[in-house]
Amino acid sequence: MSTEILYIITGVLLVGFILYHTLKKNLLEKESLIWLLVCIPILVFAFYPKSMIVISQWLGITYPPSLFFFVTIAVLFIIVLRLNIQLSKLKRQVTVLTQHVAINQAEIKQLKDKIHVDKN
Amino acid sequence: MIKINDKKFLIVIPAYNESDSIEFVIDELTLHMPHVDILVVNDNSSDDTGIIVQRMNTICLNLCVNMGYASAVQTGILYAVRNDYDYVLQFDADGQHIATQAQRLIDHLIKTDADIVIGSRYFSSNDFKQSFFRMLGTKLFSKIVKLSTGMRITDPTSGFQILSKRVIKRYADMDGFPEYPDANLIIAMFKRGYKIEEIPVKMRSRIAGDSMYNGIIAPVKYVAIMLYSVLLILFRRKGLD
Repeated sequence: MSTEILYIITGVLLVGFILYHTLKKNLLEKESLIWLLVCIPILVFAFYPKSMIVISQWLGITYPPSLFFFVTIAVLFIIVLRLNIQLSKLKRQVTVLTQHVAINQAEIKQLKDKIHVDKN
Repeated sequence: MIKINDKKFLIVIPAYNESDSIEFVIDELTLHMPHVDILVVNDNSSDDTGIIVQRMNTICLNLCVNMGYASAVQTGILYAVRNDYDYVLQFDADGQHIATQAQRLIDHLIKTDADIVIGSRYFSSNDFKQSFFRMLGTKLFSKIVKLSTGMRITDPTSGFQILSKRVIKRYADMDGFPEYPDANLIIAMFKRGYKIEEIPVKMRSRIAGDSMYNGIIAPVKYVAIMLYSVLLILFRRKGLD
């Protein structure tokens, strides 16, 4: 029974944590929705522990908690991969921005120098 | 802006902490190639590279964060496209490349109407020294280029290259310019139908500083990334993008 309570508290805290950061605008709405979807199986397993046993039997998994670990690892793997994809995209965007900033700065300097020469 | 055969040339020098050699490099280029514009891309050096370049009245692009060699080169190419240059000559800031040899690349490009002319240090003997691992990598990728394109490129890691307008436009627009633009880029450009040539050039050992391929880890990392990049290019129909 105490394990079930621990699961429920963990699931509810996770949802609360996600919603708090979404409301504070620390997390984009789209990202927040993905994390909330991740919380659904956690909450289902927490409130209906028998569901884990039923699904495990259905999938032929002899030790039901393994299903929980498997689902958790798979979901975390997908999220980390997704983050890496976003990071790669951001890296490319930062490169483009840095390159354009450097060129613009040089052009501003050239224009300033030209104006200075024209004035004199 | 001075033109050769009515064409505008720009020398792009990516530089990171090259304060000991950059003055010599610019002086040598100005002496031997007074007809060509010089652009230094200062890759957020922590030394006085940027100050020296600006003091020498050379165009200097200062990257506000350290982006690495490839991004610095691409920045120079972007500048060339924006300012309507016809040709870009890539030149190292460490003194390895010799200004008088640059003219040979230009002459060959004009003569053959190639898109890319690579200066190779392995066609003829010179006093250029490199590590065992780097030599191994060069030979390996030379073989890979030969197998995948049929071209004989003896120095695929050479940064001493001249690029035509078609190529610089392509590089400027490239989404995800490779971290190491060597054999992978040669194969990708060949697949897209660009004419690539290689000629022998003399090179010196670097005047100061350390190569980015020193040690064991850096060359191993380079080989792994390059092999993976080449494989991806060979599997992608369009090459790099």
